[in-house]
Amino acid sequence: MFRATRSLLLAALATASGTVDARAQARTEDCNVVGQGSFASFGQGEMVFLGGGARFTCKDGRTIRSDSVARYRTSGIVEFIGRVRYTDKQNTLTAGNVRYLERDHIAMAQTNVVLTDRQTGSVIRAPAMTYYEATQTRPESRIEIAAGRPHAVLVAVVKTDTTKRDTTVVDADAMDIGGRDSFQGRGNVVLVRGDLRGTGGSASYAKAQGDLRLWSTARLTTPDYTLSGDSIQGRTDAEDRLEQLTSYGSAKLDAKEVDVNAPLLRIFLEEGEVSRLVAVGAKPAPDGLLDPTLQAVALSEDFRMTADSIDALAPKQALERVTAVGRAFGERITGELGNANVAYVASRDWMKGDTIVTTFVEARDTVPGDTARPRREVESVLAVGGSAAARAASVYRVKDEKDPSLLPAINYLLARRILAIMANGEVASVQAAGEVQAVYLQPDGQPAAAAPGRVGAAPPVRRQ
Amino acid sequence: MKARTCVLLLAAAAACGGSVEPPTGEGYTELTADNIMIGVSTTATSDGVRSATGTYDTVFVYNDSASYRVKGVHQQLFDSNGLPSATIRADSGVLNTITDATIARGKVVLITRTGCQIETEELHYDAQNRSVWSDVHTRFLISGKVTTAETFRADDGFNNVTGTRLSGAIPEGCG
Repeated sequence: MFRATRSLLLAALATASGTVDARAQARTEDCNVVGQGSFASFGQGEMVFLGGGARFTCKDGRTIRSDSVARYRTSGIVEFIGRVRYTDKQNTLTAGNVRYLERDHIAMAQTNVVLTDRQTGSVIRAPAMTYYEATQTRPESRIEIAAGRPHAVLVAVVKTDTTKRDTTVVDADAMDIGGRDSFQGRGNVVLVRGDLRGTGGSASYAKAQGDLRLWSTARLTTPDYTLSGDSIQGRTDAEDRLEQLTSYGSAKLDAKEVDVNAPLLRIFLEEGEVSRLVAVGAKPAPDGLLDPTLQAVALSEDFRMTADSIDALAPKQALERVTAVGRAFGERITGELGNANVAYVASRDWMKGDTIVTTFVEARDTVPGDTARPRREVESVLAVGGSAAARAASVYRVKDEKDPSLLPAINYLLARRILAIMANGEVASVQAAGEVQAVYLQPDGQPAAAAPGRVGAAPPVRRQ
Repeated sequence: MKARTCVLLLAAAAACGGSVEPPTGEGYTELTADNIMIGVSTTATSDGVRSATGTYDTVFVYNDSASYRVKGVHQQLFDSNGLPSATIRADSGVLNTITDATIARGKVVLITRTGCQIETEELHYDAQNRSVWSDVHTRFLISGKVTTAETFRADDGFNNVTGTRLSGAIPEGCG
């Protein structure tokens, strides 16, 4: 952000005034004007005009020049007209015109306004800009750009390495910059910071609180994921890096390997990378009926999971564990049987329970030394039943190894606890415990050898 | 209607022609003036209102000219209400007895009733138009702040001031 904006404009603009407070008076005495052309003073200095180029020079190095200057003492207005350029140790402002209201301590710059922080290189460009100086009744200075879609390039010095700069580019229909640390954008806000791109109907940032917000169809895009929602709130650390993102209302995470939808999504980041994701569904309806549209949903290429909440741990962006809590339901969405005669419930592998915990490991086909991020695959899926009669349930299908073209057998399992061990994307074994009931269904017309039993305990299941 | 009044008070001995002893040194013998007056006071009016008074150490009168050359200039200007608006001191000057216009030259110092001080090497005062101006470098000392200008023009009340190449503090008014 711009440093010392408090001194911006007003200090030099006050050079043309002689009636403001003691501080401004002192500034006036410290500054002189050099007029290149004509001047006129009317009504005992009531109105003073300098034309043909005027340059104010102050002892502390501040300068302001313009084609002409007019000051109206009674109304307390100073007009800098034509090619205005203000410079101090920290900032440079150029504009077509600047109007300064002495009593209100407000400067209004117009026409191709460019405000530059000379120390950091931050630049704000706008058709017009209003600066409110800090006063007794206005504790913090403020820059207001009411319209004209300003463009801001905000450069911050990285605290840990002062040779580095952190640049954020912001475009919005209107902007408010308060003091040195807060920012608000309104109307089609586009915010770009490195690989991060944020958009929304409006945006705000409070550096002191480390609080970044996007409203109205908010969207944050990085090379790894896109986060969207009705609004997004970001929290930054002391180094101004994002450490947490929360998306509210129709929240959606669109990543390379998984998409997550939920009424609320919270992403935790470590050094810019996702380390944890929490998706929270809406509060269940009083009647207890399940409304999947209000649940959290995680969707990958071959797997879909819904639950009242989903918590995914991915330290260093390596997916480690996904915990789905509350009416959890997971299903494989590949290998679906496109047969109209097969009921939906039997057309795929699925598992449900009060809680489902899925663990992941690095895929076995990962090439050692490969710089690309290793692929993760499911290691195990654990479903746990809820209270009383609510047991975990699963369906998995067993292909005929001799003739895969045949319809698979279906293994339906009910238990307090079901653990599926995976290998190469397939169920390797299943362990069930507590009130176990299992049904093994062999399709009609299959050889008896391939169907150990039409109804009964499924051979792959190991009871505990 | 302008009624011009020019009263020459010969407070000291008048020197007419070249028959008397030079009062202040040999320099006078070289002058070509037809008359020389010492210790002269004048009053100029505009529309019946006093616009300026002046006292001069020496006045040089020429029979073929309406202008007097003066030395040791002390003038006081009055505004249209007859109130004092400024004083002028200068080494020398020229008085036009027809127009009451004055040109002050050499270390000219004009001080307004509010204390503004204007210093220049040549200052013009037009009693008829109640205007003061200078076409050479001028220094303003206003409320302790110094401002310079290459030229300036003002009414004798210093309500309105114009000029060129202002430098220094912006004048707040010298009325």
